[in-house]
Amino acid sequence: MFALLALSPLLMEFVSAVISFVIGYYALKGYRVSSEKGLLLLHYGFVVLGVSMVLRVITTFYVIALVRELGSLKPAVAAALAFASLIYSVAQLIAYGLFTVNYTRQAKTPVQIAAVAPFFLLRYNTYLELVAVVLLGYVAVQSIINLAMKRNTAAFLVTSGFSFMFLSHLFFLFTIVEEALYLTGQLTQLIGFLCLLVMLTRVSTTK
Amino acid sequence: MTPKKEYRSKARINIDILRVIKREGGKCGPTRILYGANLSHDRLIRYLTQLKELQLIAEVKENDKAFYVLTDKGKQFLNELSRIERFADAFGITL
Repeated sequence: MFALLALSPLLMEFVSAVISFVIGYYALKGYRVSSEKGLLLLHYGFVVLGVSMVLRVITTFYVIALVRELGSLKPAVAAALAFASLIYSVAQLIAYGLFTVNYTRQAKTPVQIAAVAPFFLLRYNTYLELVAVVLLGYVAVQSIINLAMKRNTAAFLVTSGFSFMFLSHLFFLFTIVEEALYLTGQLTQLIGFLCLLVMLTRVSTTK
Repeated sequence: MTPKKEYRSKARINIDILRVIKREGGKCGPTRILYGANLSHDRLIRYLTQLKELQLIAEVKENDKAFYVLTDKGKQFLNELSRIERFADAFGITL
Protein backbone atom coordinates (compact mmCIF):
# COMPACT_ATOMS: atom_id res chain seq x y z
CA MET A 1 0.00 0.00 0.00
CA PHE A 2 2.80 2.39 0.96
CA ALA A 3 4.78 1.46 -2.17
CA LEU A 4 1.72 2.11 -4.34
CA LEU A 5 1.23 5.50 -2.73
CA ALA A 6 4.92 6.33 -3.22
CA LEU A 7 4.84 5.26 -6.87
CA SER A 8 1.52 6.90 -7.77
CA PRO A 9 3.09 10.30 -8.66
CA LEU A 10 5.43 8.48 -11.04
CA LEU A 11 2.55 6.59 -12.59
CA MET A 12 0.61 9.82 -13.01
CA GLU A 13 3.63 11.50 -14.60
CA PHE A 14 4.08 8.55 -16.97
CA VAL A 15 0.42 8.68 -18.06
CA SER A 16 0.78 12.44 -18.59
CA ALA A 17 3.86 11.79 -20.75
CA VAL A 18 2.00 9.26 -22.90
CA ILE A 19 -0.87 11.74 -23.44
CA SER A 20 1.69 14.41 -24.29
CA PHE A 21 3.22 12.14 -26.98
CA VAL A 22 -0.24 11.34 -28.41
CA ILE A 23 -1.09 15.05 -28.72
CA GLY A 24 2.36 15.72 -30.20
CA TYR A 25 1.79 12.97 -32.76
CA TYR A 26 -1.61 14.37 -33.75
CA ALA A 27 -0.12 17.86 -34.11
CA LEU A 28 2.56 16.46 -36.45
CA LYS A 29 -0.11 14.66 -38.45
CA GLY A 30 -1.91 17.99 -38.76
CA TYR A 31 1.27 19.75 -39.83
CA ARG A 32 1.89 17.19 -42.58
CA VAL A 33 -1.56 17.77 -44.00
CA SER A 34 -1.79 21.54 -43.63
CA SER A 35 1.85 22.78 -43.46
CA GLU A 36 0.76 25.10 -40.62
CA LYS A 37 3.87 25.98 -38.58
CA GLY A 38 1.83 26.48 -35.39
CA LEU A 39 1.06 22.76 -35.40
CA LEU A 40 4.76 21.96 -35.78
CA LEU A 41 5.53 24.12 -32.74
CA LEU A 42 2.77 22.35 -30.85
CA HIS A 43 4.25 19.00 -31.90
CA TYR A 44 7.75 19.90 -30.68
CA GLY A 45 6.34 21.38 -27.47
CA PHE A 46 4.38 18.28 -26.48
CA VAL A 47 7.15 15.87 -27.52
CA VAL A 48 9.78 17.76 -25.48
CA LEU A 49 7.34 17.89 -22.55
CA GLY A 50 6.72 14.14 -22.83
CA VAL A 51 10.45 13.38 -23.03
CA SER A 52 11.13 15.53 -19.96
CA MET A 53 8.46 13.66 -17.96
CA VAL A 54 9.72 10.24 -19.08
CA LEU A 55 13.23 11.34 -18.10
CA ARG A 56 12.02 12.22 -14.62
CA VAL A 57 10.17 8.92 -14.21
CA ILE A 58 13.26 6.91 -15.30
CA THR A 59 15.63 8.96 -13.12
CA THR A 60 13.41 8.61 -10.06
CA PHE A 61 13.08 4.84 -10.56
CA TYR A 62 16.84 4.62 -10.95
CA VAL A 63 17.47 6.59 -7.75
CA ILE A 64 14.89 4.53 -5.79
CA ALA A 65 16.63 1.32 -6.97
CA LEU A 66 20.05 2.71 -6.04
CA VAL A 67 18.93 3.83 -2.60
CA ARG A 68 17.43 0.38 -1.94
CA GLU A 69 20.72 -1.19 -3.03
CA LEU A 70 23.12 1.18 -1.28
CA GLY A 71 20.96 2.02 1.72
CA SER A 72 21.45 5.78 1.41
CA LEU A 73 21.75 8.54 -1.17
CA LYS A 74 25.48 8.82 -2.03
CA PRO A 75 26.79 12.29 -3.02
CA ALA A 76 27.48 11.17 -6.60
CA VAL A 77 23.90 9.93 -7.00
CA ALA A 78 22.55 13.10 -5.42
CA ALA A 79 24.60 15.16 -7.90
CA ALA A 80 23.32 13.07 -10.82
CA LEU A 81 19.76 13.54 -9.55
CA ALA A 82 20.27 17.30 -9.33
CA PHE A 83 21.61 17.33 -12.91
CA ALA A 84 18.65 15.28 -14.15
CA SER A 85 16.29 17.70 -12.38
CA LEU A 86 17.99 20.59 -14.16
CA ILE A 87 17.60 18.88 -17.56
CA TYR A 88 13.95 18.14 -16.72
CA SER A 89 13.28 21.76 -15.82
CA VAL A 90 15.08 23.14 -18.87
CA ALA A 91 13.23 20.72 -21.18
CA GLN A 92 9.92 21.81 -19.66
CA LEU A 93 10.83 25.46 -20.12
CA ILE A 94 11.66 24.78 -23.78
CA ALA A 95 8.26 23.09 -24.20
CA TYR A 96 6.37 25.95 -22.52
CA GLY A 97 8.48 28.42 -24.50
CA LEU A 98 7.34 26.72 -27.73
CA PHE A 99 3.69 26.99 -26.62
CA THR A 100 4.29 30.66 -25.81
CA VAL A 101 5.82 31.27 -29.26
CA ASN A 102 2.86 29.49 -30.81
CA TYR A 103 0.32 31.72 -29.04
CA THR A 104 2.44 34.80 -29.78
CA ARG A 105 2.34 33.93 -33.50
CA GLN A 106 -1.47 33.95 -33.29
CA ALA A 107 -1.49 37.32 -31.45
CA LYS A 108 -0.83 39.60 -34.38
CA THR A 109 -0.99 43.02 -32.72
CA PRO A 110 2.39 44.57 -31.72
CA VAL A 111 1.12 45.32 -28.18
CA GLN A 112 0.46 41.65 -27.45
CA ILE A 113 3.86 40.62 -28.83
CA ALA A 114 5.64 43.26 -26.75
CA ALA A 115 3.84 42.06 -23.62
CA VAL A 116 5.38 38.59 -23.89
CA ALA A 117 8.96 39.74 -24.51
CA PRO A 118 10.03 39.97 -20.80
CA PHE A 119 9.08 36.30 -20.32
CA PHE A 120 11.79 35.22 -22.75
CA LEU A 121 14.39 37.22 -20.84
CA LEU A 122 13.36 35.42 -17.68
CA ARG A 123 14.21 32.04 -19.19
CA TYR A 124 17.80 32.35 -18.00
CA ASN A 125 16.77 32.97 -14.41
CA THR A 126 17.87 30.33 -11.93
CA TYR A 127 14.40 29.86 -10.48
CA LEU A 128 13.33 27.58 -13.30
CA GLU A 129 10.09 26.44 -11.76
CA LEU A 130 9.03 30.04 -11.32
CA VAL A 131 9.80 30.69 -15.00
CA ALA A 132 7.70 27.65 -15.91
CA VAL A 133 4.81 29.15 -13.92
CA VAL A 134 5.17 32.46 -15.75
CA LEU A 135 5.35 30.85 -19.21
CA LEU A 136 2.48 28.50 -18.52
CA GLY A 137 0.49 31.37 -17.02
CA TYR A 138 0.88 33.24 -20.30
CA VAL A 139 -0.15 30.15 -22.30
CA ALA A 140 -3.19 29.64 -20.05
CA VAL A 141 -4.26 33.28 -20.44
CA GLN A 142 -3.90 33.08 -24.23
CA SER A 143 -5.97 29.90 -24.28
CA ILE A 144 -8.65 31.70 -22.23
CA ILE A 145 -8.64 34.51 -24.82
CA ASN A 146 -9.00 31.88 -27.55
CA LEU A 147 -11.89 30.31 -25.62
CA ALA A 148 -13.61 33.68 -25.31
CA MET A 149 -13.44 34.04 -29.09
CA LYS A 150 -14.25 30.47 -30.15
CA ARG A 151 -16.67 29.43 -27.38
CA ASN A 152 -16.59 25.72 -28.14
CA THR A 153 -15.98 22.58 -26.08
CA ALA A 154 -12.59 21.79 -27.63
CA ALA A 155 -11.24 25.26 -26.81
CA PHE A 156 -12.71 24.92 -23.28
CA LEU A 157 -10.88 21.60 -22.78
CA VAL A 158 -7.56 23.09 -24.00
CA THR A 159 -8.03 26.04 -21.62
CA SER A 160 -8.78 23.63 -18.77
CA GLY A 161 -5.75 21.54 -19.70
CA PHE A 162 -3.30 24.43 -19.66
CA SER A 163 -4.92 25.93 -16.54
CA PHE A 164 -4.52 22.66 -14.62
CA MET A 165 -0.90 22.40 -15.83
CA PHE A 166 -0.35 25.96 -14.62
CA LEU A 167 -1.88 25.09 -11.23
CA SER A 168 0.28 21.96 -10.96
CA HIS A 169 3.43 24.06 -11.33
CA LEU A 170 2.17 26.39 -8.62
CA PHE A 171 1.81 23.34 -6.37
CA PHE A 172 5.32 22.15 -7.32
CA LEU A 173 6.62 25.59 -6.46
CA PHE A 174 5.16 25.36 -2.95
CA THR A 175 6.50 21.86 -2.23
CA ILE A 176 9.34 23.74 -0.46
CA VAL A 177 6.89 24.59 2.35
CA GLU A 178 4.60 21.52 2.13
CA GLU A 179 5.86 18.27 0.60
CA ALA A 180 2.35 16.81 0.27
CA LEU A 181 1.69 19.37 -2.46
CA TYR A 182 3.92 17.31 -4.77
CA LEU A 183 1.23 14.62 -5.01
CA THR A 184 -1.46 17.27 -5.48
CA GLY A 185 0.68 18.82 -8.23
CA GLN A 186 1.07 15.50 -10.02
CA LEU A 187 -2.66 14.83 -9.79
CA THR A 188 -3.48 18.31 -11.10
CA GLN A 189 -1.02 17.86 -13.96
CA LEU A 190 -2.62 14.53 -14.86
CA ILE A 191 -6.09 16.11 -14.88
CA GLY A 192 -4.71 18.77 -17.24
CA PHE A 193 -3.39 16.18 -19.66
CA LEU A 194 -6.63 14.18 -19.41
CA CYS A 195 -8.52 17.32 -20.47
CA LEU A 196 -6.29 17.51 -23.55
CA LEU A 197 -6.85 13.81 -24.23
CA VAL A 198 -10.63 14.23 -24.04
CA MET A 199 -10.35 17.16 -26.47
CA LEU A 200 -8.27 15.04 -28.87
CA THR A 201 -10.73 12.14 -28.65
CA ARG A 202 -13.66 14.48 -29.34
CA VAL A 203 -12.13 16.22 -32.35
CA SER A 204 -10.78 13.02 -33.90
CA THR A 205 -13.98 10.99 -33.59
CA THR A 206 -16.72 13.50 -34.51
CA LYS A 207 -17.31 13.96 -38.23
CA MET B 1 -6.97 51.68 -47.18
CA THR B 2 -7.09 48.23 -48.81
CA PRO B 3 -6.86 45.26 -46.45
CA LYS B 4 -3.55 43.39 -46.56
CA LYS B 5 -3.72 40.19 -48.63
CA GLU B 6 -3.20 37.10 -46.53
CA TYR B 7 -0.54 34.66 -47.73
CA ARG B 8 -1.89 31.25 -48.71
CA SER B 9 0.37 28.24 -48.59
CA LYS B 10 0.29 25.57 -51.31
CA ALA B 11 -1.48 23.24 -48.90
CA ARG B 12 -4.06 25.94 -48.15
CA ILE B 13 -4.76 26.46 -51.87
CA ASN B 14 -5.15 22.71 -52.43
CA ILE B 15 -7.56 22.57 -49.50
CA ASP B 16 -9.54 25.53 -50.90
CA ILE B 17 -9.87 23.78 -54.28
CA LEU B 18 -11.07 20.55 -52.68
CA ARG B 19 -13.58 22.47 -50.57
CA VAL B 20 -14.99 24.28 -53.61
CA ILE B 21 -15.57 20.91 -55.32
CA LYS B 22 -17.21 19.52 -52.16
CA ARG B 23 -19.41 22.60 -51.81
CA GLU B 24 -20.60 22.12 -55.40
CA GLY B 25 -21.74 18.59 -54.58
CA GLY B 26 -18.51 16.73 -55.30
CA LYS B 27 -18.39 17.64 -58.98
CA CYS B 28 -17.42 20.96 -60.46
CA GLY B 29 -16.19 22.72 -63.60
CA PRO B 30 -12.85 24.59 -63.76
CA THR B 31 -14.44 28.06 -63.92
CA ARG B 32 -16.27 27.57 -60.63
CA ILE B 33 -13.07 26.33 -59.01
CA LEU B 34 -11.16 29.29 -60.42
CA TYR B 35 -13.56 31.78 -58.84
CA GLY B 36 -14.22 29.76 -55.69
CA ALA B 37 -10.54 29.25 -54.85
CA ASN B 38 -9.57 32.71 -56.14
CA LEU B 39 -6.83 31.60 -58.52
CA SER B 40 -5.45 32.63 -61.91
CA HIS B 41 -5.93 30.19 -64.79
CA ASP B 42 -2.26 29.13 -64.90
CA ARG B 43 -2.11 28.43 -61.19
CA LEU B 44 -5.42 26.61 -61.29
CA ILE B 45 -4.15 24.20 -63.98
CA ARG B 46 -0.98 23.60 -61.99
CA TYR B 47 -2.84 22.83 -58.77
CA LEU B 48 -5.46 20.66 -60.50
CA THR B 49 -2.67 18.60 -62.10
CA GLN B 50 -1.06 18.17 -58.70
CA LEU B 51 -4.33 17.12 -57.07
CA LYS B 52 -4.96 14.62 -59.89
CA GLU B 53 -1.49 13.15 -59.38
CA LEU B 54 -2.26 12.79 -55.67
CA GLN B 55 -5.51 11.04 -56.67
CA LEU B 56 -7.55 13.43 -54.56
CA ILE B 57 -9.60 14.51 -57.59
CA ALA B 58 -10.35 12.96 -60.97
CA GLU B 59 -11.16 14.59 -64.30
CA VAL B 60 -14.32 13.51 -66.12
CA LYS B 61 -15.56 14.61 -69.54
CA GLU B 62 -19.23 15.32 -70.21
CA ASN B 63 -20.34 16.74 -73.57
CA ASP B 64 -16.73 17.75 -74.29
CA LYS B 65 -16.61 19.72 -71.06
CA ALA B 66 -14.16 18.93 -68.28
CA PHE B 67 -15.40 18.42 -64.73
CA TYR B 68 -13.49 17.59 -61.60
CA VAL B 69 -14.83 15.14 -59.03
CA LEU B 70 -13.68 14.33 -55.53
CA THR B 71 -12.30 10.80 -55.27
CA ASP B 72 -12.84 8.63 -52.17
CA LYS B 73 -9.28 9.52 -51.16
CA GLY B 74 -10.14 13.20 -51.57
CA LYS B 75 -13.27 12.83 -49.41
CA GLN B 76 -11.24 11.02 -46.73
CA PHE B 77 -8.63 13.76 -46.88
CA LEU B 78 -11.25 16.46 -46.36
CA ASN B 79 -12.74 14.57 -43.38
CA GLU B 80 -9.29 14.24 -41.83
CA LEU B 81 -8.68 17.90 -42.49
CA SER B 82 -11.88 18.89 -40.67
CA ARG B 83 -10.67 16.98 -37.60
CA ILE B 84 -7.26 18.64 -37.77
CA GLU B 85 -8.90 22.02 -38.20
CA ARG B 86 -10.96 21.50 -35.01
CA PHE B 87 -7.82 20.35 -33.17
CA ALA B 88 -5.82 23.38 -34.34
CA ASP B 89 -8.73 25.70 -33.62
CA ALA B 90 -8.86 24.49 -30.00
CA PHE B 91 -5.26 25.73 -29.61
CA GLY B 92 -6.05 29.02 -31.33
CA ILE B 93 -4.32 28.03 -34.57
CA THR B 94 -6.07 29.00 -37.79
CA LEU B 95 -5.39 26.80 -40.80
